[in-house]
Amino acid sequence: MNYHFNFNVVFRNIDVFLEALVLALFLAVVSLTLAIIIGLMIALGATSNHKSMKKAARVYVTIFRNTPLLILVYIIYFGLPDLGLTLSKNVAFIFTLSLYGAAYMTEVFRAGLESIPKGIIEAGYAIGLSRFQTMMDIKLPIMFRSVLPSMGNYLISLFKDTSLSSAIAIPEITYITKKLNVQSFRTFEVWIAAALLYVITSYLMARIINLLERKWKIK
Amino acid sequence: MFDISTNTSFFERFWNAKFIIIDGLNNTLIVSFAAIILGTILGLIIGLIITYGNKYIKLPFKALVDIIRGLPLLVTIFIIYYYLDFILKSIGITMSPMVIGIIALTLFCSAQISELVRGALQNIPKQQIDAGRALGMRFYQILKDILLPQALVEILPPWVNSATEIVKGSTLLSLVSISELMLVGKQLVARHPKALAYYSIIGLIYFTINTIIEYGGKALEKKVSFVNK
Repeated sequence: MNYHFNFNVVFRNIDVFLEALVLALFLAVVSLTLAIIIGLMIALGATSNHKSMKKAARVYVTIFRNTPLLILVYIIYFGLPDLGLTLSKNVAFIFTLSLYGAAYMTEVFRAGLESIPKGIIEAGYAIGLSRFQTMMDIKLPIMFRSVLPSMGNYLISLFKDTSLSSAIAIPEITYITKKLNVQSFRTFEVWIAAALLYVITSYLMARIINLLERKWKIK
Repeated sequence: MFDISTNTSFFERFWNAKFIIIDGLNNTLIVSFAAIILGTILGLIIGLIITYGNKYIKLPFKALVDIIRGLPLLVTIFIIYYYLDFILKSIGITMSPMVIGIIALTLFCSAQISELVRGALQNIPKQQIDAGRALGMRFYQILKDILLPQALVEILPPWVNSATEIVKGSTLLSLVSISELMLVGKQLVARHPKALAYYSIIGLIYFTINTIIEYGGKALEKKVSFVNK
C-alpha cells in the first residue's frame, strides 16, 4: 500500500468547497425556516381539541418519519412531473426537506406545547386575554425557549441531510466532492476535505446554538 | 408514449418485475438488520468504554463517535466505500459491495447507540454503583445486574428510532450501486419512465417496514416496562 498524499487539488478548489458549503447552509436554513412554520401549524392542530385535526397531524408525522428522505426527494423531483408539476432542483429539494423536517418539528413543538403548565394559560384567560393573545404572548414564547436546543439539533441534522441533494445533482459539498474525485482521482484527499468541512461546520453550529441557549435561558 | 411494448399496462410491468423487487427488498432487509444487530452490539461496547473506560482508552472511541455523528451518513458511506475498497484491494482482498454497505451502516448505527448508552448509564445515580460495591459485587456483576437492566429499558424507545433510521439510511447505499430496494426502483424507472408510480410503491414498502418496527418497538416497550415495575 503506497499512496502518496497530495492535497493540491483541495487547495486549488478551496473556493469551490466554500461555495458548496454556503449552498448547503442555505438549503438547510431555508428548509428549517419552512419546516418551523409548517411544523408549528401542524403542532397547533395536534394539541387542539379537534379529533380529526389530531388524527391528521398523527398521519402526517407517521408518513414523513417512516419514509426515507431519498425516496421523498425522488418522488417530488422525478415523480411530480408525471402529474404535470415540474419543479427546479433547488425548489424540489427545499420543498422535500421542509416537509420532512416539519414532521420532526411537529413532534418537538407538540412536546413543547404540552409541557407548558395549564395554570399559566388559564391565568392568561383570567386576565381577559383572547385565545389568540394567549397563544402569541404566552404559549409560543414559552414554547420556543424550551424547544430551542432540539431546534438547533435539527438544524444540524438538516444540514447533514442536504448531502442527499447530491443525488439530484445540486452542487453542494457531497456532489462537488464526487466530481472532484472523478476529475482528479485524489479519492482520499477530497473526501477527507469534505469530511472535515462537515464535521467542523456541525461542531461550530453546535457551539453557536449552545451560546444562544445560554443567552436566552429563562433566569 | 415512451412505452416500447405499447400494450403492457403499468401493473402488468410491475407484476413482471416482482421477483426483482423481492430480491431488492431481501437485500435491504439483510443489510438493515445486520447493521442494526452488529451496530447495537458494537454501540453497547463503545458506550461502556466511553462511560467507564480510562482516559486514554476512551479518547479514540470518543473521537470516532464524534466524527461519525458529525458526518452525513452519505459521506460516511462514500468514505467507507472508497477507502475500505482501496485498502482491502491493496492487500489482496475483494469484498462484496453488500458487506461494505453493512460495515458503513454498522459504524453509523454504533455511533448513535453508543451515545444513547452513554446517556442512559450516566443518568443512573452513582450511589447505585457504590451500593453494589458495598455488597461486594465485582464491576461485571454491577454492570450485569444493576446498570444494564436499567439502561437498556431506558434506551429502548430511541433505539427503535435508530432502527428505523438505519432502514431509511439503507436507501443511500443505492448511490454506491449496492443493489437494494431503492436501486431496483431506480432501475425500474429507467426502463419504464413512470417515476411517480414506482417511487411511491417503493416508498410505501419502506414505510411499511418502518411502521412495523415502530409498532413492534412500542409493544416491546410496554412489555419490558411492565416487567420492570
